[in-house]
Amino acid sequence: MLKVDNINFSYGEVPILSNVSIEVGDGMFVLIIGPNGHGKSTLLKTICGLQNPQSGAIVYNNHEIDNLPVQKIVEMGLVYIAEDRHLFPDMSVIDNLMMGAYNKNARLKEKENLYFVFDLFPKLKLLKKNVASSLSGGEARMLAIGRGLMSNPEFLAIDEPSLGLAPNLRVEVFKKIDDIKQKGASILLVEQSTAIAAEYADIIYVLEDGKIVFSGTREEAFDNQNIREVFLGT
Amino acid sequence: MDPWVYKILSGLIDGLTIGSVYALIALGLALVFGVTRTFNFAHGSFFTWGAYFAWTIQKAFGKEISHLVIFAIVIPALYSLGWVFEKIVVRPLRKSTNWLIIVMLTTLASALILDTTALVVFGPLTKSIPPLFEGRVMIGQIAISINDLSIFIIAILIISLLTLFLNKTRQGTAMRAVAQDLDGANIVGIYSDKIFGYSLGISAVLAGIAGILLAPKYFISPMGGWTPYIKSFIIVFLGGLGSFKGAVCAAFILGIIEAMVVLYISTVWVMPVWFVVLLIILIFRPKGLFGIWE
Repeated sequence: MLKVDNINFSYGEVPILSNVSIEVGDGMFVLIIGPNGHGKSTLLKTICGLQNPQSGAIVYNNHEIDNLPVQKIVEMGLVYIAEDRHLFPDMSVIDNLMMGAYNKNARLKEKENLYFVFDLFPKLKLLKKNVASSLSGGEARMLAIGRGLMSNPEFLAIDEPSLGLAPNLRVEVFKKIDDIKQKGASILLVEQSTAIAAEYADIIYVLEDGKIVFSGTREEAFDNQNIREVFLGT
Repeated sequence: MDPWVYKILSGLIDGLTIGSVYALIALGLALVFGVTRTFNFAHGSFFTWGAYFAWTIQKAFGKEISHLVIFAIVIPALYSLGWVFEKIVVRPLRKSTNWLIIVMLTTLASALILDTTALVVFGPLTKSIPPLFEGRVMIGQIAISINDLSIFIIAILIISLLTLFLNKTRQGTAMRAVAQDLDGANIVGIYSDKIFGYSLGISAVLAGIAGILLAPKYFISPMGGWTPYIKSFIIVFLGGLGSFKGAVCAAFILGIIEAMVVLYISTVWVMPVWFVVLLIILIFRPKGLFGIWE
């Protein structure tokens, strides 16, 4: 479904991603872990069209997307949920969600996606009329994911969804993301709090210094003592 | 009625009228800032050119031509002017470093070009167009010019339409989304480039209509847009940068102050009094009346 082939990305003179290749199959949950500041967020942003790679190809559902703007990529069903959330602070929860359905494909499915989002996050339904800037960290995280779901994704690229959340909320967020995967979406997740996320992942990549240093199934990752100790915290 | 009460009421009415037009110009400035986070220094030139468009149409079709026809022609013309302006002046510069400052400088240069073109095409002498309506109407013992009343109504109508557009339509909400979080707007699929274009287009219409409404009383001249432009800056800062509500309130407050100063002191004291008012308010509320700032 998504194939990233040997991409390179530099910020000016500074190389951030070097020859990175990953693959996400239909309906798979792929996790990218690694030390902070080593390119995980940049990789997601490049895949989602917020930046363009200097070289290499990104293919999504047989379309080359490496030079497309983010808006076109969203229309194709590849939705990005940012670490910084980027909610609309002065709009209500419901307005934020409805803006999520802006792209033309999502508009047709507005009602059923909203129903799904409220079913997944009942708290958001309660907070429907509240202004986004008044939400707590966990609620804002839920809204960011909910808004992403309103864009009618087949593929969700999520950047550190549990950052800054209390441990019990972290568990809940990953459970919800797994629920979304069960509905048929493919998930590409970048995470720091890896122990919990790894439980749900099918494939795990380790990104260090802008390069992929490990790729394997969840079992292979847990079998690898190095990976286990350094990243999975066991 | 006591003559001094009459005088105050007249001043209030004048203030509300001029305030409503100032609200249009200020909203245009506030809209562009809210969406693009920069200032369009050619905003005053749109004010001037709106008036010149109207004058040209009158010259071509005769003075009897209905203002409705004028607006029907000028509004799309102004919108296109603003939209094209965004596409050829603002957008190409967005990738550059320090683009906020570069855009201000480039729009300033464009303003000078637009003003000089007006000077060459229309000449240095001031021009005028007839008012919307002649005559007065009596409300109690007060005489109000029908022209002033119509200006007020038209301005309020436009402000209401704009508010409706921003709050109740999808594109209007998308515009607010771009203003509140550009990255967020992009990731939900809003083509923010297009929204930038809409905002410049709408602001040109607002400025141009204000120019047409004020033309009968204040005359049209090539550099005539600069005073309204500077005034709209004071209004936007008083209201609070980033607040539409603030811009409208500040426009009326300052409009009434202007009318009172003209009535009781003299026209030349308007700007100094405005600046003093702005400074005093900023001391107590540094972000303006409804300040948001970002």
